[in-house]
Amino acid sequence: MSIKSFSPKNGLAVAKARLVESKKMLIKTALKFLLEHNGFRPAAMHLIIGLSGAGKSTFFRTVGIDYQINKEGHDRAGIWYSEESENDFEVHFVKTSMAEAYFLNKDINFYSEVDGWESKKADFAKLEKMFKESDIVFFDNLTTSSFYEGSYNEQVYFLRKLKGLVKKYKKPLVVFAHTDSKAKEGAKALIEQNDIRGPKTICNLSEFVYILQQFHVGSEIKSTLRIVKNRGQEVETKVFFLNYDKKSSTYNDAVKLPFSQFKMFFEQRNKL
Amino acid sequence: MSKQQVFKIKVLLWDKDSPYDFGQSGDKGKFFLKIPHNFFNSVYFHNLSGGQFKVLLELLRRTSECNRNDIEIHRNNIRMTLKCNRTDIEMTLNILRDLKAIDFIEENFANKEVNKEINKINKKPEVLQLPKKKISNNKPKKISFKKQIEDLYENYPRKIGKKKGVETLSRLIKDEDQLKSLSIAIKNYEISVSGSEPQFIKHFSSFANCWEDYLEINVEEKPTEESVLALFDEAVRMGREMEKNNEH
Repeated sequence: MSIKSFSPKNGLAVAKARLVESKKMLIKTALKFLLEHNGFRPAAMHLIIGLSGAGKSTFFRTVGIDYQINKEGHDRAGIWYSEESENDFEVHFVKTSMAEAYFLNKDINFYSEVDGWESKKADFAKLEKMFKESDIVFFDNLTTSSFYEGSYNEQVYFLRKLKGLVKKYKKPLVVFAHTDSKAKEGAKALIEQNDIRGPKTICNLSEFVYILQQFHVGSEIKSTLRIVKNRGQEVETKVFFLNYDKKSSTYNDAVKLPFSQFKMFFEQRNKL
Repeated sequence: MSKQQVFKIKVLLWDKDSPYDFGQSGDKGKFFLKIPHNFFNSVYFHNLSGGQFKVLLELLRRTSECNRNDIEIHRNNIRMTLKCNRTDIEMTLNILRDLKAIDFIEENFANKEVNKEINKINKKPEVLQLPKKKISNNKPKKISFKKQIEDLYENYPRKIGKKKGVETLSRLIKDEDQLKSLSIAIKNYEISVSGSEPQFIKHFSSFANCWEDYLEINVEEKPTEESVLALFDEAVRMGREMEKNNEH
C-alpha cells in the first residue's frame, strides 16, 4: 500500500468538508447524551463500559428503541448478542410499554452467539455480513463474546479486525463491555476507561467512550452516564443523570449535570 | 487672653533606642510634648493633613528657636502666622495627644522624665544595655514538646510517617498554645477524613507541614443520606434549568 501524497490545498478543503460533516446528525436520535456529539458517528466505535447490573441492558434497550423510532426510511440495526438469545432479547420488550413501538419499527439483523456459534473464523464472516447489511451495529457484550476467548494477543487481534470492519463499511459500532474485578459498586472512585476487562486497546481504538455508573444512596439508585472520550467532537456536558422508567424498562430522560455539583455529591456520598 | 487659649509647651524629642536627644527641661510650662524621634518616619506623621502638618512644624520651629525654658504659644498667634483655621490647631494637638506614640506630660512629671533620661545617658550609659539584657533574660526557654507531640500522634488517623512528622513538629511547636492548636488541628483533620479510605489520608509527616490549614477549618457535619440525595437532586434541578435556558 502506498502512502498518499498530501496536497495542502486539497487538504484544507477536505478538512473543512469533514468539519461540516462532523456537525451533521447522520444517525437520528432523541437522546440528549447522543445529541451532545450529534448522534452515533459513522465509521466510529462507541464503547460503553459498566459494572454488571449497572444498567447496560437498560441502556442498550434505550439506544436500541431510540434508533428504531428515529431512524430514517428502512435503516436497519444489526445486533450481535453474546449472552442471550434473540428470544430473550424480545421477551424483554414484550414486558415493557415499548413493546409495540419496538415490534412496529423492528428491522433488525439479529445474531446471538448463544444460538449458533461455530468458530471464530466463521462467526467473524457473519459479523462482517452484519456490518455490510446494517446501518448501525450493536455488539453486546464484547467481554463475554467468544471472540474474546484466548490469549491477550488474540483479543487484541480481534479488536483490530473489528475496528477494520468499522472503517471499511463506515458504520457506527456500539460496543458494550464489562469492567474488571477491581471496579466495585460501592467503590469511592469513579470508574475509568482503564477499568475495562481485558485489553485496554479497545479504549484506544474507540472514538467515543461512555461510562455507566450507579450510585447507591440508602435505598435509592442514581444512574449516571459519563462521556470520557469524544474524539473529533466537542462535548459541552460530560455527566448525565439517567432517569429509569419502570414501565418502559428504559431510561426515559437524561439530564445534564453540572460537573461541580456532581463532584460535590460524589465527595459527600463518599463520606457516608 | 484666657488660659484656655494658651498652650505652654516644651518639645521633647525622645527616641527609645539611641541617640537620645532632649530639649532642655522645662520648669514653668503647663504641658510638655514628648515625641519619639521615629515619629517622623511613622504612619501617624504621614497621615497628618496639610493644615495639621503646618501646625506641627510651627510648634517645633517655635520651640527649637526659643531659648526660654518654656514657650507660650498662643493659638491665635499660630493661626495668624500660618493663616490656618482653628480646627487644624485643635486637631493637631488632639491627634498628638490621642496617638500613643506622643504623650502630653504634665510639668512636674516631665521634669522628672527628662532628668531621668539625661541621667541614663550621662551617668550610666550601660543602663541602655539593660533592656536588651532583660529582653534576652525574658526570652522563653526552648522547650521540646516531642513527648507531647508523640502523644498527640496516637490520635492521628493514619499511623504512617511518625518519625519525620514528630521531628518537623518539634521544630515548629514552640509553646503550649501552639501545642493546643496542634491538638485541635489533629481533631479537625480526623473528623474531616472520617470514613475516607486510608490512601486519601495524609501521612503524619505530610500533615506536619500543613497542620495549620486545619486550625480554622469548618469541620462539616457528617453528611446524611438525605443531604447527599439533596445534592444530587440539586444537580438535576440545575441541569434542567440549564437546558431550559439553552432552549430559550
